[in-house]
Amino acid sequence: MSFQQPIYPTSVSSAMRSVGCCIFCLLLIVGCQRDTTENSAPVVSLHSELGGDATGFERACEPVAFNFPEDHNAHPSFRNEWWYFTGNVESKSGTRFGFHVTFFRIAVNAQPARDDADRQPISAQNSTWSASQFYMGHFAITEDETSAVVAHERFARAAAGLAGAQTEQGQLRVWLDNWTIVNQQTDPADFRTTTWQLSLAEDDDYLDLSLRALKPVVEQGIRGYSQKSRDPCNSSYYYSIPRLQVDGTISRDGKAHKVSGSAWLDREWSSSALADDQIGWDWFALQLDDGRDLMVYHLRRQDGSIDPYSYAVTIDPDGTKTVLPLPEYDITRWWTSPSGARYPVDGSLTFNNESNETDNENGTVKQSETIRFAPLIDNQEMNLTVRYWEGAIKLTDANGAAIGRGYLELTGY
Amino acid sequence: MPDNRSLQSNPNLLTSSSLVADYKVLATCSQRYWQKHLRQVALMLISVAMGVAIVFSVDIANHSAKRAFSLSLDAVTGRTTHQLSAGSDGIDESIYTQLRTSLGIRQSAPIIDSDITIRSRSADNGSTPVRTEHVQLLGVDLFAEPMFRNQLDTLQAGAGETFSARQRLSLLETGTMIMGDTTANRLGLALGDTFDVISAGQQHQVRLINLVDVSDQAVFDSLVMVDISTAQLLLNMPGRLSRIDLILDDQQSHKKVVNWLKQQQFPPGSLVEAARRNNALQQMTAAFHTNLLAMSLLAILVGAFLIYNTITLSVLERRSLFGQLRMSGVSRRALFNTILFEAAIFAALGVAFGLLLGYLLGGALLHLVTRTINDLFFTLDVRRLDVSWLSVLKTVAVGLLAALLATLAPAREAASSPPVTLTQRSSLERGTRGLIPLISLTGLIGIAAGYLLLGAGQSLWLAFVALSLIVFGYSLLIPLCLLLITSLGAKLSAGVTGKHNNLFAQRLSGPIGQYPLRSLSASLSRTAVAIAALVVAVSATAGVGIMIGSFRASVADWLDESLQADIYLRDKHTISNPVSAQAIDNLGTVNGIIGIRKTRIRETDIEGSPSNLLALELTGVAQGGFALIKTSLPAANLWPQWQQQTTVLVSEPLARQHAKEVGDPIDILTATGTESFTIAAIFTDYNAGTGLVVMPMPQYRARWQDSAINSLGIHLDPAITAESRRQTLTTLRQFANQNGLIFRSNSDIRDLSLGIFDRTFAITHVLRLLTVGVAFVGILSALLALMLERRREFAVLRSLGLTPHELRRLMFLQTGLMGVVAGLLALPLGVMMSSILINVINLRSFGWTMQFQLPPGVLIESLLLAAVAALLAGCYPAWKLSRLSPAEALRSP
Repeated sequence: MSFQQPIYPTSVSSAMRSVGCCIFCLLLIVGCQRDTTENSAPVVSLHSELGGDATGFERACEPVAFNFPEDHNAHPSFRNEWWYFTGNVESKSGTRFGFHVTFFRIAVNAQPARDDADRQPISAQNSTWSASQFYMGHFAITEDETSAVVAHERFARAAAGLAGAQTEQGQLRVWLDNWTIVNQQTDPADFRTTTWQLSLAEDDDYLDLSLRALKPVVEQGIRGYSQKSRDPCNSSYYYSIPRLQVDGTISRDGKAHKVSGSAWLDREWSSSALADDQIGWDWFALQLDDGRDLMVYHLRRQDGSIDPYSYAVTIDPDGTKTVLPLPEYDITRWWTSPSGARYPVDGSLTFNNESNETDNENGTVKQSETIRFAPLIDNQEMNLTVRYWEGAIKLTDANGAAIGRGYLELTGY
Repeated sequence: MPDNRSLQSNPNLLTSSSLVADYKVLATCSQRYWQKHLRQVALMLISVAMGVAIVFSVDIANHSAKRAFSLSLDAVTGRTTHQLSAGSDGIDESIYTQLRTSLGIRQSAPIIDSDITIRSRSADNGSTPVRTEHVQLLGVDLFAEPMFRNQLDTLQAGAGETFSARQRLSLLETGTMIMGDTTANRLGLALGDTFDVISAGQQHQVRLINLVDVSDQAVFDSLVMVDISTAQLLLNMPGRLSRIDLILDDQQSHKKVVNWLKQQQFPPGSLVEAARRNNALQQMTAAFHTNLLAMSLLAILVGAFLIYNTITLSVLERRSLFGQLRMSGVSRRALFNTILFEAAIFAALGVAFGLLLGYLLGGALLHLVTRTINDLFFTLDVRRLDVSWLSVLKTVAVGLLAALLATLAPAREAASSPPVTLTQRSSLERGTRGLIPLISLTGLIGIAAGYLLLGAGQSLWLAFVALSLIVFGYSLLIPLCLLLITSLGAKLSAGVTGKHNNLFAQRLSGPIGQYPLRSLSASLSRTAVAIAALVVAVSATAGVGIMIGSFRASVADWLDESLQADIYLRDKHTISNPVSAQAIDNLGTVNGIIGIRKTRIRETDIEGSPSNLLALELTGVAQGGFALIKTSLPAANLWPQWQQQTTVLVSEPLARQHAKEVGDPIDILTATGTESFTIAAIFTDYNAGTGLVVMPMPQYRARWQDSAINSLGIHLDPAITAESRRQTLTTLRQFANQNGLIFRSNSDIRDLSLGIFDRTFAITHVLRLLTVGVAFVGILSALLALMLERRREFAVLRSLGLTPHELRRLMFLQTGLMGVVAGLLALPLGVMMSSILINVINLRSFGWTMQFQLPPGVLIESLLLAAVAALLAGCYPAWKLSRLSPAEALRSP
C-alpha cells in the first residue's frame, strides 16, 4: 500500500458504523491506536473524550419521517453522518472480491465559537475555506486470491469544493477530492430506478461500480430511529438499502476486472455517542441466497456482555422488515493481526424465533436457524488512521452448505 | 625539517636519550623565558585571539543566517517537488479544487505565505507593554500538510503534552494560529491569548491555540501557521492562494498536470521545480556571505604578522642562549621544534580564547548580518546563534595554521644559524637585510601574480585569492620601502640642516635627531613586521572606506537620476498593493501637475528564474527615472519613443546574471506564455536581489489584462508660485491620506535609501574597526618588544644625559614616525584594494558597477588612524621607558 502517512487528524476511527457512536469523539483518540499494541487504549480514550460535545447539534431523540431523495443528502445539523457501502462481487473468471466504500461527514463545531465579546473575529463567511465540517473517505478491496486487503483513506474539509454532498439536477453527488458517489432515482415511484455510482481511485487501485437497488429503503429501529443506549437521545437516524445489484470494474494493483454481485448501503446520522460502558461492536450484513437479508449488531460492553440495545433484523425478498430477537453468538476462531489485535473472524449466529410462528413461504426466520460465517481471507484489517476489521465473509448453514455472502465489521478490538 | 641531513650525519644526536635530554633543557629554557615575558605572551594571545575571534564570529554569523534561511526554505518547501504559481497576485483557489477533484492530483497542498506583523495587546491596566514581531505567515490546509511537511506532526501542547486531534482540528477554526514558544515569549503571549495581526493594511484579532517547541522545530522561531481560511482573511486575498505545492514524483502525474495546465491555458513556466526556486533564493546572499568571510580573513592575516613579530623577538632575545645550547650539543631539530611548539601552544591558547570571544562577538554580528539581508534581500529573522563543529574546526585550523606559518621563518632562523653566530647580536639583523632583495622580489611576484589572477576568470573566490596575493606581496615590499624611506629621510634631514642653520635643524641633524629614523631601519626585522601589520590593517580600512565612499556616491547619483518626479505615492503598506483606479483618475483634476509616472510591479519568471517586472507609463513631462548605462535608444525624445516600442529595459545585475547585452533577446513569462523581448537598454540598479525588467505599460496590459497601478511619481510645474505649489502639495497629502497612500517627496526617498545604504554597511565598518584593533595590539607588542630589546641602548642614552622626558619624546617621535610611515605605505595599497573591490569583487558579487572616487577624507583618516594607533600604542612603552633605571639596565645582561 503506497499510502501516505497519516493525514490529519491522525486518529480517526472509522469503525463506528451502524452504532450511533460519534465519530468525532473517536477522532480524539489521537495516535493512541497506532501506538498501543493492545486494543484497550482507544476505547478508554474514546470514553474519556466523550462529554457534552453534542451541544449545539441537533439530536436524534424520536422518530421522524424520512423523505427521499432529500434524506440521501447530508444532514449538516447533526454531528456526523455516513454513506456506507459493502459488497461481494465476482469477476467473469470467478475471482471473488469484497469491497467497502465509506464517506464520513464529521463536524468540528456546531457553529464556530463566536462568543468572546472582546474579540472581533474575522468573519468565517469571508473565506471559501472556512469549514466547520470535514469528510473522511475510506475504500478497500479484498481479493480472494491475494492474502491481504488494500485500504485507502482520505480527508478533506467540507469547503472550497474539496468535499461535500450536493444535489444538482436531480443527482446527489457526495465527493472527496476525485472520489465520488452519485445517486439518482429516475422514477420516484419505483425504487428499482435508484442507482448509486461509485468512483474511487488511488494509486493502482480503483472502483468504478454501478449499483442498482433491488430492495426499497429499510428504516432501521423504530421508523428509522435507532436507539443505542438508555438515553433516548443517544440514538441515530438509520436506514439501509440491504441489496443492490453491482456491475462495473474493480482494479487491484493495476489489474482491472469486470465484476458483478451485490452490495449493501447503510446511511446513518447522529450527534451523540456510545454509553460509557460500550467498548465496540460486531456488525453483520448478511445476504442470503434465498433472497433474505439479515443485519445484526452486537454492542459489546466493558464486562464482555452484549448490550441489550444491540439489534437484529431480517428483510424479506420483498423488502418487509422484521426485527428479530438477538441471536446466539458463538466464536470458533480468533485471528491475530500483525498489528497484535485479535479479531473473532470465524463463528456462528443462531436465531431462535421466540414468537412460535410457523414458517411461511416468504421465508421468515425459521424456529431456529444457524448461520456460520468465515472470512474470505483472514487479513481484512483496515490499518488506517484507526484500526478495525472490515471484511467480506462466506456464509454456510449448520451443515456446511453455502447459503450466502456478507460483510462483517469488528471494532474496539 | 631543515636539519635532517645534519642529524643523519651526526649519529650521536640520534639516540633517543640525548633527544629527550635536549627537549628537557629546551622546555625549561622556554618556560623560564616566557615566564619572564608574560606581557609579551599576553599581547600575542590577545592578537591571536582577536584575529580568531573575528574570523569565528563572522563565520558563525554567516552560518547562522544561512542555516536559518535554508531551514525556513526546507521547512516551507518540505517534500514539495513542484510549485504552481502565477506571479505576485497568487493563484485562483479554484485551480486547486480542480486539481484535486477533476484531475485527482491528491499530492497537492494549497499555500499562502507572506510576512506579517504580530502585535500583542496590552493588559487593560496597561501593565504589559505592547510588543510587536515580524514573522512569516504560512497558511496551510491541515489535511493536505502531512504529505508535504512535518511541522504538524510534532506539535506539542504546552508542557510535553501531545497535541491532540481536537487541538489540531481547532486550527480549522478561522482566526486561530500556531506559533513557536520563543515567539510567544517575546510577545508575552500565552496559550489562548488573543492578539492583533497587522497585514495588508488591516488589523485582525487572532487566537493562539498552540505553541511549538522551537528547539524541536527551529523554523517556528520566525514562522507562524494558520489555516488557509485565516490566511486569506488576514492577508485580504479572498479566493487566492500564494501557490500550490505539488509532489509530482512520477512521470505520469507530472505529464498529467503539465497537459492539464496547457489545456487551462496556463502560461508555461507556471510550474516550477521547488529545488530550483530555493536554489535561486539561496544564491542571492551567497556573494554577501563570501565578502564578509574574506574580510574576516584579513584579520587573521594581521594576527599572523603579530605572531611572527613576537616569536621573532623571542628568538632575537634568546639568541645567546640558543647559541650556547647549540654549542653544548642541542640539535637544530630540537631547537626548531621547540620554537614551533612554543608558537603552537600560544596559538592554541589564543585560538581557545578567540573562539570564546568570537562567540560573544558573533551574536552582535548576526544582528548586523540579518539586518543587511533584510534590507537587501528578504525578510529573515534569526535570533539563534548556530555554532557548528565545522565552524569551530575551520577556525581552529586557520588560527593554528596562520600561527605556525608565521613561526616557520624565525624558528628556521634560530635553528639554521651556526652556534657561534647565534650568539652575535647583529646576526639576525644582518640576515634580514641580506634577505631584503629576495623578499622584495617575492613581493613583486606576488603582486604580479595577483593581478594576473584577477584577469583569469570570473570566480569570486579567485578574486579574493588574487586580492590576498596582492596584499601579501605588498607587505613583503615594506622592509625595502622602510629602508628607502629612512635613508631618504636621513638625506633630507641632512639637506635641511645644510640650508637652515637654526635650532630645529640642528636638532634634526644631530645624533639624537637622526636616531628615531635610523633605529627604525636598524631593527628592521621587528619594525618592518610591525609596520606591515599596521599597513595591512590601515590599507584595508582605507580600501573598504574608498569602496564604500565610491559606492555611496554612485548610489546617490543613481538616486538623483532615478528620482525625477517630485512626489511619490504608493500604498501605505506594501508596494505590491495596487492604488485604486478612481484615485488615479481624481489626480488629473489637481492643479500644478505636469506629468505622472505610473508603475505596476509584479514578480514573474525572467529567463526561467523569478525576478521583478515593472510596467511603466509616462504622461506629460514625466521621465523614465532609469540611469541607462548602455542603450540603443536615441537620446532625443527617449522616453516617449520607447513607450511606443515592444522592447524592454534590463537592470545591470540581471543582464550580468544572464550574460545579456543591448539587442539580445530576453525570455519573460507573461500571462500568455513565455515571450522573447529585445533589450533596448541596460540601466543601473543598486537594488540587490532578483533583478528588474522594465516594460512599456501598453505591452504589459496587452499581456496581463491588468490595469492596476502600484505607485505614482508626480511632476510638479516648476513655474508655479510658491503659494500654489504649497496648495498642490496640501491637496496631494490629503489625497494620499484619503486613499491610504504614502506621500513621499524625492528627497525623503533619497534620505531613506541612503539611510538603508549606511545601515547595510554597518557590518563592514565594524569589521574594519576590529581589524584596526588587531593591528593596534600588534603595534603595541612590537613597540614593547623593541623597548625591551633596546633597554641597554636607552640606558646608555640616559647615562649620556638624556632626561626621562627627552627619552619619552624620542620614543613618541619614533612611534609617531612608524605610524606615519605605515599610514603612507598603506595608502597605495588601500587604493589598489578599493579598485579591486569596486571593479572586480562587487561586480562579481552583485553585478553592480560604480564610479571610483577617491575621497581625500578617507586618505587623511587612514593616515591619522595609523599615526594615532601607533602613538597610542607607544604610550605605555614610553612611560615604562622613562622610569628606566639606567644603572640597572646597563648592569643586566
